[in-house]
Formats: sequence, structure tokens, C-alpha cells
Amino acid sequence: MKKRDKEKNSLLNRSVVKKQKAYIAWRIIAGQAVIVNLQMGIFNVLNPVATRIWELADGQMGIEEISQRIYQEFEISRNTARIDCLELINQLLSKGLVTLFPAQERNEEEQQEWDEYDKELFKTLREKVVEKKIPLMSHFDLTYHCNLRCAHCYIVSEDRPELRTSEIKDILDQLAKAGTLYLTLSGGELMTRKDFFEIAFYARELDFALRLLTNGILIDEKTADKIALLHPELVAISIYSINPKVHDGITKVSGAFQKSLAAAKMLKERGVRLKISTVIIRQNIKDWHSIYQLAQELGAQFQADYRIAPKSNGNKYPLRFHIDDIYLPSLLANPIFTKETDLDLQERGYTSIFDTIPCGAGHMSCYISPYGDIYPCVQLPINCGNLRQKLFTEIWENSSELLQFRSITLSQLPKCFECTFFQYCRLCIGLNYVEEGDMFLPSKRACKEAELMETLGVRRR
Amino acid sequence: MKKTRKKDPQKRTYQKPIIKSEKEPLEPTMNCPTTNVKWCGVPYSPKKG
Repeated sequence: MKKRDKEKNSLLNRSVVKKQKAYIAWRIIAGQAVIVNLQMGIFNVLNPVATRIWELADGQMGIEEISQRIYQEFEISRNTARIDCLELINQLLSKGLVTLFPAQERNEEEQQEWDEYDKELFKTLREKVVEKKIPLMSHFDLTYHCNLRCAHCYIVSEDRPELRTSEIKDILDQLAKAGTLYLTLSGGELMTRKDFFEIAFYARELDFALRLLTNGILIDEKTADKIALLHPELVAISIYSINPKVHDGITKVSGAFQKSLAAAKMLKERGVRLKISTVIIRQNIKDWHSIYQLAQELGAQFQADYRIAPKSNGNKYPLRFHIDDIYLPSLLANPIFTKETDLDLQERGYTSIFDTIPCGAGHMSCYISPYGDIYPCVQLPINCGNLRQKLFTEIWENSSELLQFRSITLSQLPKCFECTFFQYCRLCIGLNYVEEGDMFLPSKRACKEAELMETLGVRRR
Repeated sequence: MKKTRKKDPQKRTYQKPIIKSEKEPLEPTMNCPTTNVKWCGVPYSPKKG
């Protein structure tokens, strides 16, 4: 053993091992620890023995004690347990997932070690959670109150009290227990809630990978510091045009653009992972590319959508803002949108459970309204139960609406499944439901889009 | 005669502890993830993009 390795191992032996709680999100899913490094956007999966070591890394035990426990619990020699524990903890250290007390310096050589990554971990996890019905991703709208009045907004507030802080915390406890790793907090405007930071810090205490959707209006230097301290996996800020007149015209609040842009810059300066989101409507059809460029300049991800949903009460008023069909070909043919993602490429020729079900809604993800109602998805207004009356697991496992929804297979949508353009379609039963009033009737807009994608040769499945 | 170790029924089967890592896949830039089965559940709001 080299002198340097000896010194390092001696240090390891004298230190206790602790999870890097502030910079990671994690859950044990189907017996395996799934850990997200929130700063690097790296997704890690441990096998069962490594998962046990991860559980034991609680800031109380050193390597000797951890390996002793592994020796006691598994069929392995004391020496092999010790060597393997040491090796794994070294790997966890170099991936920034654990830390040692007293601290140990890391060297560059160790950093280089992890330039190569495994593949298909996310894909495999997704299959596993669908099979085991784990709500890996939950979208929680904390409020429907908003400080903007966007023309295309679909939300209609109801005359019911929204969830109180204690109720939200209780729901978060339940979601963590049920296996939610990725938690999206949104609204309305989530920062209009005075208890937003109390809720968000509580969520991070529970080790969720936090994603925040906001308009950024209420973000100043102080709140930007607080958001950075949360180490969110992602903050998405909605910008509708880089022309302040257009953006403010859509949001109906003067000065909104400057505030949202300033928020994006403040978060970026603090190293927060940022996404610029936009909705392409009649008013900003000519502006989306400059928003894309702005995202590039900010070093942010970009996401756009041109599909407008009717209001949650069925009112079709927002649909008047949908772009004219004439713009669709040039929009959909743009390389920014047709570029395949890493996951798209991995999916080629791959058969999975996703070949039989329409999507992951209600199987691996769900939506929770500010009133505590659970829906399969933000786009699917099928109320499956209320968290003020029942526990999350009761609804998730037994709700008749959810069970019925989960039983839907692609073959039950013959109009879609047997369609010539099926491979080119982003079939969404939520869109079918809100547009056609029936989950089984194809959305005419989706059909039009699929036809267009076929002429462009861009497959979606 | 070679001594064989008796299996302890209380103990679990051992596999060398392994960690596998993957860069988080990039999300699509167009449309909501709810219209793309692979991305279902990714942050999305029909009013925010």
C-alpha cells in the first residue's frame, strides 16, 4: 500500500461518515438508495449492501463501526467487509455524497476518476417505480394566489380554504414516506405564501430534490440568498418575451419583466440551477427564439410549450390565445425542439411498460392542489381524493378513480394506438380530457401535430 | 479435512457494495413532459411552460 493511501485510510478510520445533507436528495426505492447530487445534476444508485452502508453513514459511526455492522448483518468475512466499506466510502466521498469529521482533503486525481458515467439508471428506476407504484415525482401547488394575471392562465380559485402550513408539512412527511424523491412546488405564485420558506426548508430537511416554478417577482437579494441555501434541484422562471411591453402585456402587470429577469440573474449569480420556461401564444409567437437566446446567455435550460389548456372549470377562454396553425410547421421543425434528448436516444428499440400504458401519471407521479385534492397529473382534473380526509397512501393505493385510471392501457385507445401517426404523436390523455371531454377521444390538436411530425420525420416513441 | 464455514441463517447474502452514477438526462425543450411518456412528472405547468 502506498504511503499516501495509508495516511488516507488512517484518517478515514479516525473519522465519522456523514451524508452531505445540504447538497443531496435521496430515497430508498425498492431496496436501493437513489441519491441525487443537486449541484452536479448526477444521479446515483447503490446496490443493497452499499445501501446499508449509506444508511449507516449517519454522522455517528466511523468506517470500523460501519464495516463491523456489515460483517454482523451479511455473509462476509470481517476483512472483506472492511476493505469494501473503505472502497465504497472513498467513492461516496469523491462523488460529494458524504463527508468526514474531521474533514479530509480531496485531491484532483479523485475528481478525475468519475468522468465516465453509467447509463440507463434513470430508465431502469422509472420502470421499477411504475411496477411498484411509487410516486417518485409529485407536483404540489401550494397556492392558487398569484401576483400576475396571465392571459392564458387556466387556474380558477375555489371558495375553499387552502392548506395550512401544518397540513402541508404533514403531507410532505407522507410523500417522503411513500417514496417521492422529486418534489415540484408551484402555484399560483408560491412565494405569495408567507410560509413558503418554512415549507421549502422543511421539504429539504426531508431530503426531497426540490424543483420550484415561480415568476420570480418577489425574489430580491435576500430571498435569492435563501433560495440558494435550499440547494434546489432546479428553479424555473417563466418569461414570455424579452420585450418588456409584450411580457408585461401578457402578465398584465407593469414592470413584471424587469423583476423576473432580475430574479433569474440573481439566482444564476448564486449558482442556482435555472430553467427559463415560456408558453408560446399569439402575443409572443415572434419572441420565443430570443427567450431561448436569453436562456443560453444565462446558462439556463430552456423549455417552451405552445399547448394552451382550457380553464380548470372547463371554460375554453384561454384557447383563444393558441397560436395559428400556420406557425406550427416552422415551430415544430426548429432544431431546438426536434433535437433528441439523451433519454430519447436510449429509448430507441427499447420495449418497456411504457409501451402498454399511456404515461406515468398516476403510476409514478401525481398532482396535489392547494386544497389537498390528489389528481393523477396537473393536466388531468380527475379528483382521486382529499388529503384532509384521507392519508396519502390510502388514496394512492385504494382510490377507485386512481385504480381505474391506472388500468387504462394504450390498446384501450384504439383511435390512437392504431393510428398511422402513432409513432409521431405525443399522446396525452389529459389533453384529450380537457379538450374533447373524454380521455379516449384523441385531441384534434395532438393529431394535427403528429401528422406534421410525420412529414418532418421526427418520431416521438 | 478442510474446514467449511457454517452459513448463518440470520445473515443476508453479501454482494460487493457498488455505486453506479448517471448524469441526469436532459429534459426536452418543447411541450410539456406530460405529453411525453418518458418525462411524465417533470416540472411543468400548462400556464408556465
